[in-house]
Amino acid sequence: MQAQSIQPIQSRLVPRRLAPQPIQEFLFFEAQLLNERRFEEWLELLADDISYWVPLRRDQTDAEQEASLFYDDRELLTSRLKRLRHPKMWSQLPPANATRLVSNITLDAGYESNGTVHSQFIMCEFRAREQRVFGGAYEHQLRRTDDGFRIVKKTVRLVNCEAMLSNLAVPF
Amino acid sequence: MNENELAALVQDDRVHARVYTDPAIFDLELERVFRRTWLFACHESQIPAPGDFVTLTLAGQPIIVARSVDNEVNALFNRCAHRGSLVCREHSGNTSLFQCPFHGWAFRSTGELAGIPFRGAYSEQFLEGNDLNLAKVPRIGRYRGFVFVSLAGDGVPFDVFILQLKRGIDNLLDRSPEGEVIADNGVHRYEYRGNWKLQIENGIDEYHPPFSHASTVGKDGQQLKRAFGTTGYRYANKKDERPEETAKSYFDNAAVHGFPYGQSFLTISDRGRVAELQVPEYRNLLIARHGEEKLAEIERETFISNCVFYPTFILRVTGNIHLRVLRPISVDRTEVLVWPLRLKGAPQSMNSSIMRYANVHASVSSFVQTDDLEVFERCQEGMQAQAPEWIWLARGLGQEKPGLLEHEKVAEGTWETGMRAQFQYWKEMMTRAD
Repeated sequence: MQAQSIQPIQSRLVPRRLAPQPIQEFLFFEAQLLNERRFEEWLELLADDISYWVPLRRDQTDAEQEASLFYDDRELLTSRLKRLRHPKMWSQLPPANATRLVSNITLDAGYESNGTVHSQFIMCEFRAREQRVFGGAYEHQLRRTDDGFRIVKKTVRLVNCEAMLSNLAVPF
Repeated sequence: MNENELAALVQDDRVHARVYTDPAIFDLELERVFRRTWLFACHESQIPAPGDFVTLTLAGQPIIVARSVDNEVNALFNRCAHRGSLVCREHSGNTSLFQCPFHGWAFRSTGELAGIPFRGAYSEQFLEGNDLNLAKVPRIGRYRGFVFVSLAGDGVPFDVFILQLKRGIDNLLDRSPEGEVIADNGVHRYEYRGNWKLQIENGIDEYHPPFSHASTVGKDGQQLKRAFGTTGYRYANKKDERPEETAKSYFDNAAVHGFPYGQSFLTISDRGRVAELQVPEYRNLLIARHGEEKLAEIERETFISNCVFYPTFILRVTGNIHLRVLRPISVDRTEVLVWPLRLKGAPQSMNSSIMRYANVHASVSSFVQTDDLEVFERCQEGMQAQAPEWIWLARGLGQEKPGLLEHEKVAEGTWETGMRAQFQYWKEMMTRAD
């Protein structure tokens, strides 16, 4: 086997650059709101035309013609978060406590003001008597506004999206 | 446990909690219920082309359903004839040969042995004297694209098993402009830590919605419903019925029909059940297929919500149209699979809406099924209590009316008639030792 220099492999496999600090801080802030169950404030980070998508299949590209775990517009997401506060939402009594670790935050090669922000996450969740660990990739599309970033699209690709899952109530 | 002790667990108005919690009873159920009756295997649209296959686990056994080159649907055990390995791990796919990863034995979609590596070490007598094919599942039953199998060579004939529920399948297919449904837009796969019966009973339980699903039935009584050609959901306009304070439930407007072999169906209480059929774009397609007169008949027949094929399959016929299959893993663990259906030839917006409604209604991340799964798990934990010993299934007992078919019992929506039909068959099977 012919030896190859490291540089060509790196440029081929990592064509992304590190996200600038304001974008990283925004993703950390978003994770903090979700970790602290500040769902109403999280909603404020979302654009009116938000699409929140958690595919059901590993290489899934379409949510209109294929089933998904979450494929929410703002109205549906608002109902979902409102339901999390309902006193008879049995699957969140007691509520889950979770922490999300966001890392590897990079931008598409040609990223200007739009494009996809890629990151990896680990979410550790505890509810009732059970701890679960989820992991995967986040893909954010952000819009710059006078009032900071808004999330236009958030895709969550779980490593185990094809597994036999158990109840999922809180957005990743 | 002897047959008398088993029989005592099921009485007219109650069952013993042990039927949900005792691992020994679960093992016996696999043998006497699941391995005797008809189990849903797949829908033919999941294996449309020669070589297509799906794998599944039925009553704890690995199975392949494959379409062979001559277009036959074959149900085979997924177990190499040689040393016992699975010959296939994928959930679905297409192949001309299933090759065992262990020593390379290969089998066709019919199960027939196609080749043995280095066969010289076997005598002709051995090769000719033994069945070295993938074993066939004893019986396969098909009705209009729905494929069932039986792990027993004899037992209730398929035509008899399916008789009472043909009505729901026929109505669903009549509402497809091409007379077919297709299960090709994904599958929700999840589990709960509870006995399998909790899910199959839920298919005909209209007592629970105002309570289990309190968080989707708002103060104004609104609940999520599917709407044609929208993003897959809308709020229904339902008046607050104050369920705790009235003797009758809104859901008593629905009806449960109980039958032999544990079968049942639930009708739909929503007056808007045929509203979808009024959408011109869709209605015109149905008129083109059936004509006005037949369509009027189909509208009258559009009243079934769920068909419950005991013990593993729920066909949702209206609204949230899907296949729901349960697979028991252990006494307190159950897998559930949900395939949203497309009505072949229907407007794309309608099929997309059915699929998206399953996301919010029947998935593991939905607004509705998540409540049920949580409650099933609470039941499993609650039933560990030593007292009381019994689970009451007494609603409407003895008040049912006769139906069109022999032994058919017609009940109000919240009555536990469907569960009683299920347990009657359970008792019949469980107390038969042969």
